[in-house]
Amino acid sequence: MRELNFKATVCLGAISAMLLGAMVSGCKTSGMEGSATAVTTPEGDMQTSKFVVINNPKLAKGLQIVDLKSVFKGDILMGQVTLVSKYSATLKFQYKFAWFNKDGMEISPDSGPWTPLIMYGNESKTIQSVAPNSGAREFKIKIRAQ
Amino acid sequence: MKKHTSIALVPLMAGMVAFMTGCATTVNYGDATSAQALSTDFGASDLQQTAATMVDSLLTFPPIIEATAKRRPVLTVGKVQNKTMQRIDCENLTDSIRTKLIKTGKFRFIDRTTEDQAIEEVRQQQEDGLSKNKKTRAFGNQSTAEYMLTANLTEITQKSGNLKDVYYKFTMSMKNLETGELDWSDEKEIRKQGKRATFGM
Repeated sequence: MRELNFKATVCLGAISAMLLGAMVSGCKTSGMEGSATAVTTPEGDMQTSKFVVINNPKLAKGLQIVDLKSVFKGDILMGQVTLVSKYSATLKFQYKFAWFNKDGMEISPDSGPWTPLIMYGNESKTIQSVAPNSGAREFKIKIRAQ
Repeated sequence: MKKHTSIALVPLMAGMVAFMTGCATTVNYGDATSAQALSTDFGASDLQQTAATMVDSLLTFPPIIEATAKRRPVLTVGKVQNKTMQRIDCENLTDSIRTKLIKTGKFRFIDRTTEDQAIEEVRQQQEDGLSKNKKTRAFGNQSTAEYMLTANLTEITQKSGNLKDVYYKFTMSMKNLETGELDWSDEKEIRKQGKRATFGM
């Protein structure tokens, strides 16, 4: 009887410890961001000016923006970003494109979705997006940890 | 025995206190465009990503660039065939695609779903005697669609133990109503994996 009660109390203790553990591990958050801007002249020249802002050095350690390109498809601007993972492990993050007109005003702010991306160890990947309309002359990519 | 029980109750009580204080119901505004996978179901982010991919693809397809270079073709949206096991409001998805396409300034759309209201309004203008004759709309002048957007949404679900893998494929085509040809088509694939926790609710 005594042994049974001891087992029951050990079991109870283990469950409550697991409850605590699950609560602590289940509440981690992330909200880090890195961004880059590419500019295209109103004349349509492909003078992409690379401008990278790192808000999250931890993310920048594992991920590098190696190239930014923009090209007109008809009269619509298309942006391409090449990323390289510097980690050997798999990286998971989200990216989002933002588009600006020639006056630097954002077109349809917050309309583009955050898109998840998985990069395997030391992989390079290109991501593309198309401007919401023909007024776009500049794009920015925002990257944040998932 | 009493000693053992009290030892076990300490972390349990601490857990209960943390549970009651830390997990009280709170309500916050979230980011509407965030990609947060809460389940393997087709969610808001999946809808947004699918709509964005379709619009991007359509806008950069060379024959479409050519067709929209000097004029704005009139489109209509057909019904999306939801072949998944989930109840998904596919009109929500096509609404997003249509809105984005209209905002590009390259397409015009007709909407058959509001036809009854439009007929009622035109009839009202013509018959109520309140409107100036020159400004009342006449029947028989509406545009007709040149292209129709049609789509399928499918899913393949696999389960193994506590792992669930769901693959979604959204295929959209633009059918030329004159020739019956598909002038454009593309698909968006989404894969979601969920693992049921050994301990959790």
